[in-house]
Amino acid sequence: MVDSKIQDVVVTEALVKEYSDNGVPVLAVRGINLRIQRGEFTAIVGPSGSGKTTFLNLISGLDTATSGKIWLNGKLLIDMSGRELSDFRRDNIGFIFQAYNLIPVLTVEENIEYIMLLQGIGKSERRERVNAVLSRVGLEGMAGRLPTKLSGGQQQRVAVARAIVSNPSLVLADEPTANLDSKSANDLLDMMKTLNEDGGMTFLFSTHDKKIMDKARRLIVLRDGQIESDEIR
Amino acid sequence: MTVKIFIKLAFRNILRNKRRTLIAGTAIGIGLACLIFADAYMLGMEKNMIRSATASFLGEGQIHHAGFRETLEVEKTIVGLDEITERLEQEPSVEQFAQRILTMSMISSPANVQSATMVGVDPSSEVYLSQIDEALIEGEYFQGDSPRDILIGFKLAEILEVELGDRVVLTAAQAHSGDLAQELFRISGIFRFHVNEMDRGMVFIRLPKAQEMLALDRSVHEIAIKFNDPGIGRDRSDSIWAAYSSDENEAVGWVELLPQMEAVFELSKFSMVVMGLIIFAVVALGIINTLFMSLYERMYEFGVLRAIGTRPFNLGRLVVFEACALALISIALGLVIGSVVSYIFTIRGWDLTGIEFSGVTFREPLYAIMRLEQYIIYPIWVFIITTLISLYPATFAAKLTPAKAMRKSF
Amino acid sequence: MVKIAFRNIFRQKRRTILTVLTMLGGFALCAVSYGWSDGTYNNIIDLFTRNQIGHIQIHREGYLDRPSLYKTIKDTARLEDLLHRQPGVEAWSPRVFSAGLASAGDKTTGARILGVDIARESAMIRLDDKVTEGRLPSDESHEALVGEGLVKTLGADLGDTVVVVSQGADGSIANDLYTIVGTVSSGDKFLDQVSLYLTLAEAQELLVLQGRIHELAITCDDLHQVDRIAAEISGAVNNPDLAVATWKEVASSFYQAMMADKEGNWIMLFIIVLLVAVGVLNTVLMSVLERVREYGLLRAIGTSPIGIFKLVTTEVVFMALIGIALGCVVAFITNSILSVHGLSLTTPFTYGGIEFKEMNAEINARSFYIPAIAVFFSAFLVSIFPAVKAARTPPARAMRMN
Repeated sequence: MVDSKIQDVVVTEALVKEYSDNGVPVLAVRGINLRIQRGEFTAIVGPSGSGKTTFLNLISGLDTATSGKIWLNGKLLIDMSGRELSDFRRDNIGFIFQAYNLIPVLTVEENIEYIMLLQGIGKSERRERVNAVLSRVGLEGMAGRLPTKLSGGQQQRVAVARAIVSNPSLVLADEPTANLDSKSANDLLDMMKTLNEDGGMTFLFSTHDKKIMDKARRLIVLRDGQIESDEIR
Repeated sequence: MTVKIFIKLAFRNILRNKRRTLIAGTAIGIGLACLIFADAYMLGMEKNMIRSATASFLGEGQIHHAGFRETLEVEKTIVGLDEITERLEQEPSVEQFAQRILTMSMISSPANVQSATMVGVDPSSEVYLSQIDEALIEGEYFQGDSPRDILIGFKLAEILEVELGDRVVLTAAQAHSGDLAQELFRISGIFRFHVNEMDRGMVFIRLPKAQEMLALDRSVHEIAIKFNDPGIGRDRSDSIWAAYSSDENEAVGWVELLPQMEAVFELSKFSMVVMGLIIFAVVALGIINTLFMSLYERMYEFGVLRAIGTRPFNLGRLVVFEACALALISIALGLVIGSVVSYIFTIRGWDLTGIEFSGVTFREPLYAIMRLEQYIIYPIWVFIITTLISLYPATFAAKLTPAKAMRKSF
Repeated sequence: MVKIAFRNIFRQKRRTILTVLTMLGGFALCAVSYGWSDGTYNNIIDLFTRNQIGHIQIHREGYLDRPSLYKTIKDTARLEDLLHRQPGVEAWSPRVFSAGLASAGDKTTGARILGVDIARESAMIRLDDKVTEGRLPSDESHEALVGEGLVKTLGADLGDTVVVVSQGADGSIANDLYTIVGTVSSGDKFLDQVSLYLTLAEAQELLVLQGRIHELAITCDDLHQVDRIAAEISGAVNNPDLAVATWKEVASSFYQAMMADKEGNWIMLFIIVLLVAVGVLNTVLMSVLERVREYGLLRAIGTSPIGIFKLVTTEVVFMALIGIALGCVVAFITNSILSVHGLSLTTPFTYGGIEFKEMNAEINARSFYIPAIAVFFSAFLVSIFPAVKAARTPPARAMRMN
């Protein structure tokens, strides 16, 4: 484990997550050992309840594991305090959720620059990077709009913009195309593929969507909280 | 630097659900308005009662022979009168003073007999100190120089069944001998103070006549004083009391003459505090409810904020900022409501005339008194309390794990 | 519908608890405030009616407003007979009053002469208990009971002679000597400064009243029956020259002052209920808005708008009932404690002429049912607006809103 620190973005060892659903204990993740390397474009698939979302939450620190270890960029998650974890996510991970990614009271520009504000970056640099990333996702000129005035596809693209604006090493996308029509979904996917190939950002998806599965270079199948298959194409 | 975004977020979030913010803001605002108004009311009541007590007849301070007040013994006259009056003339803080004779007497008419306090006054100095002249409803205030002039209260006149011009007989005990002196007087004026004790139990005659009738030479029982500074009468520790008190005489302010009034002011302040706490307890529950409701409907959003890197502390702080924003809006509403209501009652007062409270009877309508402190201190308290209360939902928000937050919704 | 309403409340625990707490708090506050106010006033009224003035007084018409030596009651015997037969009357005492001067040694001061039937006065207002030194005057003697303040002013002692000067009803000067056999503390300091008690017969003789009296003071068993009993007595007396007055008229300045204060209580009730209503409105609105989907579902499966309306209002009614019930418990406990451990004032104050030394709460019905009705109805009324809103959402639109 130690020697592959530089290459591995995510490493998990014997990861287990149990929670209680109205008193019934549920083992969402039962002992997953996994390594994701820099630059991967990987999809995690499986039926509902297989533990995909839980797994993504665990490796990003959004949720706490019941047992097992997680390393992100070589750092052990357990060692980090709540604050350190937040800062780590801020600087190293980008998130794209299925829906409601954006803060409704902030404009597109404000949503994207939020992370940079937390990082203390100055106004002119923020503006520069926002504009740069908006053109990358094809939404130049939308900086001043409120999320309620955007289509579903546009909202997801802003989410992508926000996710990548601070050059994170890992982008986690949980069902990013589930609420989109096929054209928007395809456009979104192509954009992310380009970002992956140009910028070397690691993309990890959890999805049902065949289109994503087809474009992924590595396909991990989860069933009942365990890895069923792990294939590299 | 980073604080600004949270303040921006807080304000925009509060204005998201305008109706709810308005309703909650109105509730808190009403609470604030109550505090402001109650303060204005109490100030008005204090001022009214003090005025009623001191301006009508008592004066702001009095000098007597030590022990006179308890028994009204006719022999207990002020010692060293001339020296005292000379000093009072020179005293810078004294605006006016008047000398008086007071004794228990019997007053009889053909129809009836009553007991009354006979007060001998010097009309020219008395007119600046008390309001006897203003309280007259019939007749004149000691015009001319007839020594047999007498002013009686309207209620006493009714009971004795007498009118202006009628004759009454006053009977009182003389000094030193105890002999009864009886003198005839002619009613030259009838007054109405709206104070039962005065309207029913007091008569005024000329000071020299009283002195003659009671065989008192030039002595007096009481000097009533009005000061330049109205605060002196209330201040037990003012140097003036010691200056005019001695082994034989005592000088006291109204605060000592009417101890229950001060006590009642304390009691009122205390009940105001209790009322304030109570109102705030009820409002606080509403605030918590509002904050939690707005929290719950944004759980997912909070999860996202945490996910993309917001520190737990900052999320909690955001909730506190939202409460502060709510507080500011509420304070604005409260200040408007409070000032309008208070203002209305500075113009249109309560008429409590005739009601006695702690030894003082209300003689004029009670008007509210607006003061700048009310509009600064109470809002600050509201702000502090709202902020403190918000710590409960704030810690709740900060302690959330992002995943839990996103699960909790829909 | 009722079942759904009931279960819905427990879904959102924190919100329900806070809302119930608001109603509980508002209710309890009002209940305690009424209990405290009623308790204190009823105590005071009981005190001064049983200690001095009695519950009902009979006088010559016009005496109360303008007392006069000459306004007397002649047929005392007939009145006493009437009172003997009136149910609800506990005791009565005939009295005579006059103003005069009292002298002892070389000191003279004003006095209020009270002529009383010693036995009846003791039975009615416990005059015997109020004697601080010496004893009550006995009949057929020139004996006087003097107020503590008066005896001090006169500088006199037990056994000393006091000269009383007043005016007789025949116009003559009334003048006699009495021996001070006791001092009395009636509880009214102002009265004690001037009071001089003689036996009724002695006073009537002094003032040449020929068996007439000024006042017949009456106490009743139950304070709350006083108005009714007074009306009955008035009917039985049937004499336009005589006036039957309750304590409310006799102590009118106090009664007016008390009424003014109670008005203030109503205002406070109004404000508290307003605050509670606002709290409830917010909660219910919120809960309605977030359950639009659910209401749409219910409508789709056939629930009428009125059914939805009832659902929303029923939830509020439940919360109100729980809040009020718990509030009753809290208020009951609080008022019970406060009725035993009230406030003892070191510096008593007077209000409306009556001295307040102690303040206590009491447990009574109206301090519970008035706030209960107020909180219940305001909560119910306030829930109408959101309930109407909920009832109006058409099924299709509701389902679409996700």
